[in-house]
Amino acid sequence: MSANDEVIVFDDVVKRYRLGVERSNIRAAIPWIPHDPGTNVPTVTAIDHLNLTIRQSESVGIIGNNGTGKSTLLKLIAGVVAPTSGEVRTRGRIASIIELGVGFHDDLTGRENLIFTGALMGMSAAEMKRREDDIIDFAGISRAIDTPVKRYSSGMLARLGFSIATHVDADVILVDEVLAVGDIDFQRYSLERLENLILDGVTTLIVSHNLAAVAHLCNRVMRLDRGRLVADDEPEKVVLDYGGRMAIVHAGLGKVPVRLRELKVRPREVNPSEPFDLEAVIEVERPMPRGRLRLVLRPTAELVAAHTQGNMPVEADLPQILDVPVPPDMLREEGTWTLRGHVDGYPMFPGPYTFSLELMEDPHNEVLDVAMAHLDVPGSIPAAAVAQLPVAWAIDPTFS
Amino acid sequence: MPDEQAAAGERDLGEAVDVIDLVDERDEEAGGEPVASGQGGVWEASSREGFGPLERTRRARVTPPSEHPWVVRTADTTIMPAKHRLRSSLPLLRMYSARQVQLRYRQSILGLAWTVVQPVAIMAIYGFIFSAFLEVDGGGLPYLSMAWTGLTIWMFVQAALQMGTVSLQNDSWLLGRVWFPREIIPLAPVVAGLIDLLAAAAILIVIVIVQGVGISIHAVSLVLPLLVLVVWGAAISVFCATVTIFLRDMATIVGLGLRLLFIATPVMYPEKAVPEHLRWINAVNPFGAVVTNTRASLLSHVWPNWELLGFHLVIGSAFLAGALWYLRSVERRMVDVA
Repeated sequence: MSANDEVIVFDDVVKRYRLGVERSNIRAAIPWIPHDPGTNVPTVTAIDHLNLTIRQSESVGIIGNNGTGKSTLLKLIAGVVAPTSGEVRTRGRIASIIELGVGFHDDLTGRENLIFTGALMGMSAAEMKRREDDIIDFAGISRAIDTPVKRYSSGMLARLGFSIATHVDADVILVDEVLAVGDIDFQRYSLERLENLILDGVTTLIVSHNLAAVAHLCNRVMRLDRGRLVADDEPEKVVLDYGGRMAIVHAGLGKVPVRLRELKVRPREVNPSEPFDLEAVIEVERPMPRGRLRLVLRPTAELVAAHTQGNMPVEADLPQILDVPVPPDMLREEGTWTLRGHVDGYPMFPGPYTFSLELMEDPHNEVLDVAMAHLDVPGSIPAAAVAQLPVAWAIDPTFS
Repeated sequence: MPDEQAAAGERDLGEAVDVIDLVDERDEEAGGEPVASGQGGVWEASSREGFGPLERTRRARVTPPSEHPWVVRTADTTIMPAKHRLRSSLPLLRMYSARQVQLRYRQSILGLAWTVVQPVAIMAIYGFIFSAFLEVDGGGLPYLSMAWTGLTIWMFVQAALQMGTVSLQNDSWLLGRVWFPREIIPLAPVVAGLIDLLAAAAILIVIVIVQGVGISIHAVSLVLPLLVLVVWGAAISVFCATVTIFLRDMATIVGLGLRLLFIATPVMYPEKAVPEHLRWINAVNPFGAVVTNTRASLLSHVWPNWELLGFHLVIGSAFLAGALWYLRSVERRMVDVA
């Protein structure tokens, strides 16, 4: 780690775009008038005082919501957009897959575009000729390669563009949302191609909403929010914060560190408004500081069907009768814990019910683990109601 | 792979190692160049959900960054070693110009033959009007030789200026996608125009011989007017293309200017047809000087006006340098307004 490793440096970079249509750009055409939309016109700040350093062979994922400046960041690195203020320093050959079909001309064939796009990225025609077969082979469009690209599907354009950009011996590769286009096979090819480039030591920047891919490929993830860098850390931390625990699990970066072992209701049969007890066993492998538990009471599908005289509803459509927060203290400490709860009575109609204890993690609402228990309220099921409400009524005469 | 079974149970790390092992094996088969063929266990391994972080066994095939110069971009400047910029420019200019020619005649039956058919048709139309109606003569030279000389040059001027002016605007979609030296775009129509010029010049030589004018040693001096032509064409193209990106009005102005220039330049008439007191117009017009002096050395077999051509070459080169400087000083803004 030294300054010699640096390949991309942002020094207090700001990029502002002007909103609306300008009648004339005459001021922009004059070199000595500074090119800044200024403060008296409506502007949008795509990149807001950004400082960052990327070293050789780093693979950096850039995540964040739409319109937070991810693509502008790549365009600044690629040099197609100039900063409004600040300084962008880069070195080495940069290949970018910023938009579909890199720099293809509709009327040229795939093969002609291949040579031409290579030239745009700094490769000679002879060098591209030597790689031609590899590129076409990878893109898997050998039959269409001598057809003008205007007849290509968007998937074919994406494949050819990706194939070219990853075969030009770049020192830095910028990838914008390419993992989202193309079919499953192509997504796998491109993932593996990126893996190879990363292993070769190519510096890689990947903008993607596919958190699993980002977590897999990158050894550093940055999160942008309204043009600012709000997180810049190892993938697990940033992805967890942004996408939730399941994103980490899907990416294979870890497991949910808390298991809900079992949930019991005692007694199993409870008459309406009689007391009952709940008991859960919770195994905390590692503390979850932002973990949260809730207890949900749902009627079973049979019960709902009986009430509505309709079909059996699917599990996800079952209404929640109760949603009770559970004290999450045991999630903060390693160990196996037993959680007990006592209910004095709840006026339910007869029928089968399900209690489920659900684990979540702030600020997300994904259910990470669940333990379920059945509860039967004996008696015959009445029509069209799920619960009784014990109301003490009073009738008084009213004079107006 | 003996540890394949052992790794099967350990989801987190095992599979990642699996992927790398397979990749390396395949790389060796392909002679070091990773080629994805779409078959093999790689996909199976990496397609399972949750493949864990990429195991990094650094192969480090890239050159250290210290071997590349820094490119620094701010709002006002791009600092890039001139060698770096030039090296990427020249092959690209060649390819961009070839693309221009390719595109112009794509999906056309006559194709490249248009480079010959077009001037012949124009010659037929203008030649008929000028010689039959206006009774313009060759000014001591066969009319066809005289007019074709002018037309050969004019076709180049028109193509370079007309297509050059709108070139950046037409290709502005490319500006936002990939960085390359922007001056390539307005220079390409000029280079592509040289191909048409070559075709027209070949016909010119045939006409000159057929009409009995003949060719003398003086023809070697044609290099100088050619240089003036290309330098001025390039300068105007680069300047007008840059302005057009910011002000669309420029394209219309150039269109009008070209009509005026066609009348003011002795393309279809000899210079002698211009009244004595107006001949200075032809002298200050670089294209007029080119036409007049090309006729002098090719058709009249005399040496050209060295001073006048030299003057235009110097001014034109300065203009070209200024136009390139201008393009470079505003190129960073083009994406924002185009």
